[in-house]
Amino acid sequence: MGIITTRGLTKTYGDKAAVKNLDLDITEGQVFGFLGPNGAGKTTTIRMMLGLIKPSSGSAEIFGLDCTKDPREIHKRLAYVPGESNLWGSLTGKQTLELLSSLHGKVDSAYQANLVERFQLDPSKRVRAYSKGNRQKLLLVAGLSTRSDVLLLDEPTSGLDPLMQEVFRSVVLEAKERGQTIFLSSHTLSEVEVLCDLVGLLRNGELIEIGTLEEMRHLSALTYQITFAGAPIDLSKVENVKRVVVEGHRVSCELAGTPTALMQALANANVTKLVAHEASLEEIFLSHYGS
Amino acid sequence: MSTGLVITKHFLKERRMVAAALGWMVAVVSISTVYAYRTAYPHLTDRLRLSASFSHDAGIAAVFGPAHSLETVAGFTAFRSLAVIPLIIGIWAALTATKALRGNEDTGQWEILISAPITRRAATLAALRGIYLSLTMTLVIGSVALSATALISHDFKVSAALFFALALVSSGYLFASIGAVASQLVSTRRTAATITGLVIGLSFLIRAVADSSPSIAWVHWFSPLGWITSTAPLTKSHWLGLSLVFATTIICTGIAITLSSNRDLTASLIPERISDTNGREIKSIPRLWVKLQGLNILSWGAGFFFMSFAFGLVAHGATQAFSGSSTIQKTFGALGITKMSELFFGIIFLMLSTGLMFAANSHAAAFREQEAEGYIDHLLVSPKSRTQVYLSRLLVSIVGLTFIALMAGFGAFSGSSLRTGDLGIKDALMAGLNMVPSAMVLFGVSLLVFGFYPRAVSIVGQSLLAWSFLLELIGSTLKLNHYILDTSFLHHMAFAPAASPRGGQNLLLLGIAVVLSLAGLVGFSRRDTALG
Repeated sequence: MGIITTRGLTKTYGDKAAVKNLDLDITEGQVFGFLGPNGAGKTTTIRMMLGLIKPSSGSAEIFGLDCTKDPREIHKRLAYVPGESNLWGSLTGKQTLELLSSLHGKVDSAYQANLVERFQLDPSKRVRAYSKGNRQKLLLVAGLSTRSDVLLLDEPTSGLDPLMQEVFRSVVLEAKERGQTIFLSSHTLSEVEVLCDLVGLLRNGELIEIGTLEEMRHLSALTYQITFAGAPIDLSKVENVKRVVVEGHRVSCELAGTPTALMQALANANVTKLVAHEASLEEIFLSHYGS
Repeated sequence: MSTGLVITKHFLKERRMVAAALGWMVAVVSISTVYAYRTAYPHLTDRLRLSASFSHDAGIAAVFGPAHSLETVAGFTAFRSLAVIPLIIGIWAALTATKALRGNEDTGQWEILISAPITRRAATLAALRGIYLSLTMTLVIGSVALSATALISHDFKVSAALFFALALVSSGYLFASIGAVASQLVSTRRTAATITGLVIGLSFLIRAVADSSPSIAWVHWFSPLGWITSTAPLTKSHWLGLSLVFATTIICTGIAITLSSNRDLTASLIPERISDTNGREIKSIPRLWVKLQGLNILSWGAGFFFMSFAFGLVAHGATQAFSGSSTIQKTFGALGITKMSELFFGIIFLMLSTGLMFAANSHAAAFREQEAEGYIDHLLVSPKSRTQVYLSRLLVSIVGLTFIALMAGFGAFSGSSLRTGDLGIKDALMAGLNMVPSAMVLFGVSLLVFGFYPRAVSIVGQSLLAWSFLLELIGSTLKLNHYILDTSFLHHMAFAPAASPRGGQNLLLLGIAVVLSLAGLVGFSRRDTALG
């Protein structure tokens, strides 16, 4: 059953569409990675799901409830962690956690204490005195400690150091094991690669690709690195070969489709080394957005 | 264009509208005083009586400053304008300087500016130059208008008018430079503004004490506001006070520039307490609003108390001055107002209600700021409804504004009790409460704008307030049509305590405020939240 569903979800500002005809189906317990360059419409989509802004057309539902009409009911079972957000500077970290927990109405206090310790957060400090990373930790602790059925995470690790990013990953994996559904918008591709079951790519407000990482890899080009004994042959005209980069005796290229033509071209060339590997998420990302 | 000039231009551009509005305020207040004085005191005998009663009242001198040549248009205009305008311009300049030099540092914008090829010292100087230039804009507008008045009315010379304009605006330069120093000493804009506010308050207090008795008049040399009143513009034009103002401005500017390069960015010379293990629990939205707005409400309440307390002290002398004007007695007698002490308090509460309306608009603007900066997203993504968030904010503002109004009433009663006891506690508190409906209507309008076009909350509220204030100031002098006068929010206020508060009309105003607020809620519930 779809926990998060959008149908034709569209948001326009004047004649510019921030999100266009977005269709998503995220099932219970799934971790969904929502990728796209800056300005692609990721945060706009999340804000529509939260009921903070209304769709121009189409619909978004969470738990089968309309995000525009029933945001309160949805929020009872959902936690949101923004990546860029202001917190009240005059409050301490402890006061902020108490406030956000009370507003949500549900918090696992023991787990919150555990998270405070794992994220190495000092809650006695005023928020004003926190670094950006510490403010982000505070938001993460507040959101994750609700143990909500759905977690909406909008670039949640921005500002965190690599050690804390690792803590974040382990915490999300624990949430996944508990069966929580996680909607993760992120620029940290390695994070998405490790955590997500399903990945959606957004460009100019449109969903251009959605699937598991494996499915995406199959759809994407293989990357070849070929080393020649002498001067490399010209592969740019070979069928299914693209993005040819020549560096001395080495050529790297991508192959989208059958390798027959490439193999034939290389048959008579003096190749000393040939390495092929599946595209990483970063390479998939770059192949969609790079140009 | 050099980086320093770009920064100067940026700060000048940000402040030019308010600076120009202040220039027009200088012009309107001063010019209307010239014509109001002529209308109210047309005969020399009236003027001499006014001068005699004002010049010898210690309370009047304490609140308004020393009175020179009140039997002349020039003397009275200088006396009335110096009591209010330097304070308003000084407060604005102090807030502007602390916002520019510490507020921008709080939000990280200063960091971006100084990452350009410019030193911290030069950047601080450039920012202050922008503020000083905006004050010069105020000065130029005021000077032109006052010079034109001098040429038309022949009540004072053009050179005296120019000196007068400089004296009125000089407090801006001075308190901006003091605000700049405070911004280097502490780590938040709010604390820097509070420190500068204390300096202004202390300055007022020292001047008031000094002017209340001729034997200690020399004490006013310890007060920057005392320096300004000592200039006696339009009549004597003494330069010594102004020289002290500008010398202090230069010294404080130099100190601020030096300190800015001798500390870490975002750090302060006075260390901040960053931990608080005993902070009270905040577990509900109303508690959050109280935490965020409480200090502001208490400060306004204290300010209103002390201001009305001071007016209560001087009520007796002012009443005698009113009694000396046959025109005033005739005008207000026709309205059924015969007790001049009540007339005085009626004017004071009318003036205070302008302040209360400003506070009301600033409450709506603060709510908008919480939305623009993304703070209320944290509340709206909880299971609380927008209605709960909105109504809880509304409730805190209503209680806060009513508290401020009651403090004004209590202050007037306390001050009056120490002198003559002309004002009873019940009348004083009722007069305070009588200010609330008009303020609530403006608050309602501001919330309506918040509901449908949130970015315009401040500008619409402040424009309506300025319009109302202007009509009250010049409406009767210019004998404007009542349809125009009715557009003033202040015009619908009963002249309490001189006239009894009109229950029916106040209920109607409160009803309008409720309707406007609910309409704002409808807009807020249906629209997208708007960041930035």
